[in-house]
Amino acid sequence: MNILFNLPQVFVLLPLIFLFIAALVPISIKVTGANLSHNFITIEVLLGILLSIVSIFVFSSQQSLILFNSLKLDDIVEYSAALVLVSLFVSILFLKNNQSFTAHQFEEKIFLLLNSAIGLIIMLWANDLLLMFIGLEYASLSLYILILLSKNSSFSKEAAIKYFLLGSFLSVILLYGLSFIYGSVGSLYFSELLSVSHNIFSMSRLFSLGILLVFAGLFFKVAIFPFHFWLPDVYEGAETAVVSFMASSFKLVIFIILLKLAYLDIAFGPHGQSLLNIFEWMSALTILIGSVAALKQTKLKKILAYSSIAHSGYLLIAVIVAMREESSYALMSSLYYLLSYCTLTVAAFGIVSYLEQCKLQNNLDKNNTSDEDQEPVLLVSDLKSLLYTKPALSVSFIIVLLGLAGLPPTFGFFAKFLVLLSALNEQMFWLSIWAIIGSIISLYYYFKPIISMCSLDNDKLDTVFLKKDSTKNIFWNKTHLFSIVVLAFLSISLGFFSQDIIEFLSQISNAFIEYKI
Amino acid sequence: MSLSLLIFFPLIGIFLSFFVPSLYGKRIVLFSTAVIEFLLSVKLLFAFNTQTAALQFVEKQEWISSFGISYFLGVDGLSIGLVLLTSFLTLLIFIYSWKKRELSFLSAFLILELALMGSFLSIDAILFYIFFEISLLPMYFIVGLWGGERKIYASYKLLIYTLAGSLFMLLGIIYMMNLTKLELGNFSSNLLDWYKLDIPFIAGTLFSTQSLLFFIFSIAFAIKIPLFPLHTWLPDAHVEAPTEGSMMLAGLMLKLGVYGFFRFVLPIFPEASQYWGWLFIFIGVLGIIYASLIAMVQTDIKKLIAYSSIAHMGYVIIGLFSFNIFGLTGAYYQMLAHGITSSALFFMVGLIYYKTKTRQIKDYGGLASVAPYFSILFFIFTCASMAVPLTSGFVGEFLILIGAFKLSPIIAYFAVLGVILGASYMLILYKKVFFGKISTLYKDTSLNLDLCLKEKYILVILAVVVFSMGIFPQIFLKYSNISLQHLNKNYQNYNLSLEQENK
Repeated sequence: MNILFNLPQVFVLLPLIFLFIAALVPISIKVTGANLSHNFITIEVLLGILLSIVSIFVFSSQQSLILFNSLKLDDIVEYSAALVLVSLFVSILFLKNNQSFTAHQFEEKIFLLLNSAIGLIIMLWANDLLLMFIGLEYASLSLYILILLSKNSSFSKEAAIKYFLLGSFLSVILLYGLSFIYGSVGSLYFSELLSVSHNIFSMSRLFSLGILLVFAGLFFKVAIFPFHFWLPDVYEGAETAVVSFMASSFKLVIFIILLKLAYLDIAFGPHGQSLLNIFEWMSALTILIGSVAALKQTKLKKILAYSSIAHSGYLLIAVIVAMREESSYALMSSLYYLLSYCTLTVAAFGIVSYLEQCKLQNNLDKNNTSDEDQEPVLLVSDLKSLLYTKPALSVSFIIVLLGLAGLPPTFGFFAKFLVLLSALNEQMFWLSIWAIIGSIISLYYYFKPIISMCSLDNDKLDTVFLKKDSTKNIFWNKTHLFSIVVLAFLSISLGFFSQDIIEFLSQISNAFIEYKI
Repeated sequence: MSLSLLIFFPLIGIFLSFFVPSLYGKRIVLFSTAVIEFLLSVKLLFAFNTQTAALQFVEKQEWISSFGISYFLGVDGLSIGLVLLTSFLTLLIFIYSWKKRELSFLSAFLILELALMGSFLSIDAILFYIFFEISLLPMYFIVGLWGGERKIYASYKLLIYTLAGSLFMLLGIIYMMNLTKLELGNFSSNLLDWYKLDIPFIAGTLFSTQSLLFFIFSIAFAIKIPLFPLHTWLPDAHVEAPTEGSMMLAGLMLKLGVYGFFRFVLPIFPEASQYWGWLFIFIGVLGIIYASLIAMVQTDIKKLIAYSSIAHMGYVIIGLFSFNIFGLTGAYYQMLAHGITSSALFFMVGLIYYKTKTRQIKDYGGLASVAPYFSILFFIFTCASMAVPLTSGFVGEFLILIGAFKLSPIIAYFAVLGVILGASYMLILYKKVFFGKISTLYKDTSLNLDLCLKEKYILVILAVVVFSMGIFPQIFLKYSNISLQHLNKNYQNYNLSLEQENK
């Protein structure tokens, strides 16, 4: 199959090119010494992202393998890339609003954020596993620096160093695993790995080891149990708007990769079974850690960080189901879960970043000192009586937290329902019971902020948050609030349209599975 | 007559209240929502056909058709009484507190009403589950925001205890859906499909599919009822809940669990429920005696009544699992009667607590001479709670005891113990609070402890219901009779037909 390098195939890359140009413009103008207004930069970048989203669908290739088989496009990855860009879009809105106070290095942050998205999209589209690795490193490196830039406190330095050291260590392990796979199969092209009979896989101990190492490297990025220690610290140290991008898109992309790898039939044969056992334990322990460790936390961001770990565990259940069965249920339900998780997470961190900004402004107004450049730490007790000062925001937050807890009638409930349905369909009782126990425990910390927001305490009404919204930059503030409300509305209403979403997702996942056969 | 309107009307009312400018206007809108909702349910009652066990006023709409989940509503003899009880109690609560409480408090009750109506009327398991869980949220806020001193603790206990049961029930529901896929060829959460299933059952072992599913569902509902070893959330929730919350909790939330047994457990798992019935009867008897003994030593009036609720619910369980028409009818009747009696008692305790700020029995005494009307009405409800003949409590307990006697006289002997104990703790309470030396608490003060006109109205209405339920049980039973007989005759191959809407 000799595919020539031709122009339509380059068009497929246009989304990435648009993104890169959009990222490059502000920083190169800054280098020349000119001073652009941040409003202009934001609008330019947002337009770039929109253009990029549009071009994904306009120039989507008819062929699936392009550019010397290095990229493999199908509906799932195109749709996921669009989702990454949407979450990038929303995160930049959040970032812009927060920047009105800590207005340094905005151009650099934008540049790194967009480049991270480029890395993620490369990773999604890669057919060559080595290219996937490069995409992963590209995205991660941007994030390391981004976390370092976040603020002046030592928290972010610590977080960045921690993330960087552990991250590069696990990347090397991933690369090592790839070398095993290459050694046993002779190819790193995903499309070729798919077409090789699964007997070869299961017989080869080397291949199983390679897969284990690759999975370890990927698991690190989504904080599955033994590799989860970095996540709470990093989320705490990083700027919240950045976290909302990181927590949603990074997880989305890595799980799409994991699902793709799951369809390599690695679960068959003696080694495959022991691999599955290991993954099942990892998933159970991840859910447990994510649920139990957050119980004692008082910082809102840490609670959300642990909840993100627990959600990784639920998603891993879906991946395990996908490894065990051939049908498209598992793939569909995990895509559904990812969709709902991304909506809820972006909204949750968006709300936290909004509140942090309110608290910061309040601190500034009180002290009149300009050196308080740091993002303030938001405690659960700060939320007291928020419902009575900021009703729209609080109602959104309540909806989002209920969604993360998986209670009906939110989007999160239907997602959890579908994952459990596909798990029980595969007779995985043990793991489903763990999932239920985890979600019972986690109810406690999801309801802590809720009850705090609703309880009326007249002394606290004006102390933590200003009654009125920030006076500076009203437009971006309103946009931030508006996007939060829209996301919360989506997370309560999308569940009712599950049938349409399920049909759409089944369609794209069937296309993926048919390709394999 | 549309059931959807009946379910979602409270939401429309809340929505309309946003557009009314004045606070008083908003209150009026919310209040009239409760009134209209009650009128709607009365209209449903009149349109209800008592001659058939079929589902009436059916509404069916495909929802998530890939997994056989539909928006499927219907009413039959099992749910009509509860629907009416829901709107009736909500109306009484609104009459009492529509001027006093915050708007959010009133809205929480309307949402609770919505969720309860939805759970009683849905014939689809997932739809039922969604309403079942939603009903918990307003209750959580009612206890957690407007409750007493330990409200946070009590609300968490309520939330986590009941959700723990119902989340496991979600697993059960999903497993049932997988079974429909195996046996009928496609996923379905429709209860009518579930009734058709033949779930594998092996006597003698817990680890057969039907027994396990039976226990998953029963435990979820037993927590809600609450059955004896799973009851510990209830006293805390009752003590901390505001008066209206207690009324709703005792009057309706507990009935959700009983309704679950009627609608889900008995018809879907007939072999398992007959096989394991003895266990539930044993626990029921144990629960009656245990809760009665605990109630005797309570120092807090509200806690005493909470424990009496647990004892009464023990009777319901005995009636359910005695598998004859007397037991079933008795359980159903006891459920309705307890809804009226216990909410009336909680209401009265709330009234007196509001004025004296104490619920300790030792602080009271001689109330009869200070508040005569209050004492008379309290005595009526005490009698109803003790199952004195001519009151509502008697009919239900009597039928349950007949049912239990038919099953095995020994059970009836032990269950009768509960009647004696019940009389003793209620009478001890009445003696200590209303007779004896006049307490210093209100001896010298000019506190008007007696009922005001509005409270009299509410309580007299409740007392009339109590007496008419005791004297003319047929009026109330005729709505559910056919359905209960249908259930009793067809445990093994239970099914419901659909009746087209009669114009």
